[in-house]
Amino acid sequence: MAFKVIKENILRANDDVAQSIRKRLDAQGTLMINIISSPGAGKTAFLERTGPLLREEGIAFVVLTGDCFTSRDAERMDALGLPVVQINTGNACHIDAQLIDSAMKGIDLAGTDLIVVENVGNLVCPAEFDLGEDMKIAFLSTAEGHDKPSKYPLLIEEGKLAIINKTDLLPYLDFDAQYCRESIKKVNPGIKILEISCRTGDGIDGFIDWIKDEIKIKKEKNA
Amino acid sequence: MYYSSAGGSRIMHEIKFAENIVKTLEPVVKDPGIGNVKKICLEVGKMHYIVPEILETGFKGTPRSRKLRRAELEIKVLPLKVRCRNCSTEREVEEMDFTCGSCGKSDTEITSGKEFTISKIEYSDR
Repeated sequence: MAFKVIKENILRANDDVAQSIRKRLDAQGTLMINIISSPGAGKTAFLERTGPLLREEGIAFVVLTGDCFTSRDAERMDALGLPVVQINTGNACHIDAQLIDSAMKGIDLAGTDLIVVENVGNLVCPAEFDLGEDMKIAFLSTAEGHDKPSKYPLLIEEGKLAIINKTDLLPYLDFDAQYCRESIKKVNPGIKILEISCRTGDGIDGFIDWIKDEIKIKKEKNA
Repeated sequence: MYYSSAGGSRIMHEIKFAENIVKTLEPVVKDPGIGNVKKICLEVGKMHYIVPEILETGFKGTPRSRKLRRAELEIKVLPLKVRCRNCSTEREVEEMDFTCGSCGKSDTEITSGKEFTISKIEYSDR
């Protein structure tokens, strides 16, 4: 029996495509964020809330939204006139770099400040795949319970921003916000945490300020 | 709004990983010095969500060339460890708290647990 040392990342095929996407984004100074949450955390409601505000700010953006079968999320954004590409993943539980690569074909990167990837609702698989994004956003909600950060640490560890949605439900839930915040920081002390309610609009301006800064940083870095 | 569809069938992530393993190894085994592969050794850190049995099933179902056909996966799960940047203490993480157990500082780095590697292949001599 003989052996050969390989030392190759299992996802190299995906990562090669992700790197090529990252290069194209960097060349144009376009920021890409990858929003990952469990189903029903409110990603689409978040984009419905923030999309019109981003437009008011003069930010040119496109949403790439992933869903296994339907185009319901894209239709909701389309109804608001927000630029959206529906990615149907078939029966896959995640978006991979190849899907993003195909979805980006119709996008003029030179005229785009921001690409928002709304991943398939799932806290497990999407965290495993590099899409060429600048950052992952862990999108949680109070209704899911405060223990999710400890249960899904990969996303928290790799995320740059953690959003806790549905704060308007706090009076009706046993959600321990302090425990949730602490368990996020125990895995990733550098991550920023925003608490918002897409229903009432609370905290949304904090996200708009944050994303404006990130877009500016990306543009300056690649100027 | 426009559509971009995956087409074909893409499935649970372990199956995607199995496809990626085959894709990475096919060019390697083209080497005439490499015979039939018996074992593919993987190192997977605890931070990754892998169910070894599903990965093995996915691998069995992934089309591959003759030299890889009889290969079996050997999956080694590596523990999650962090090292403190302040006092250099290294420890294994059980509960999801990366804070240094020794000096209490939160500035730690992961030293093990994020591996996701095909480490080596074992094959019969020709």
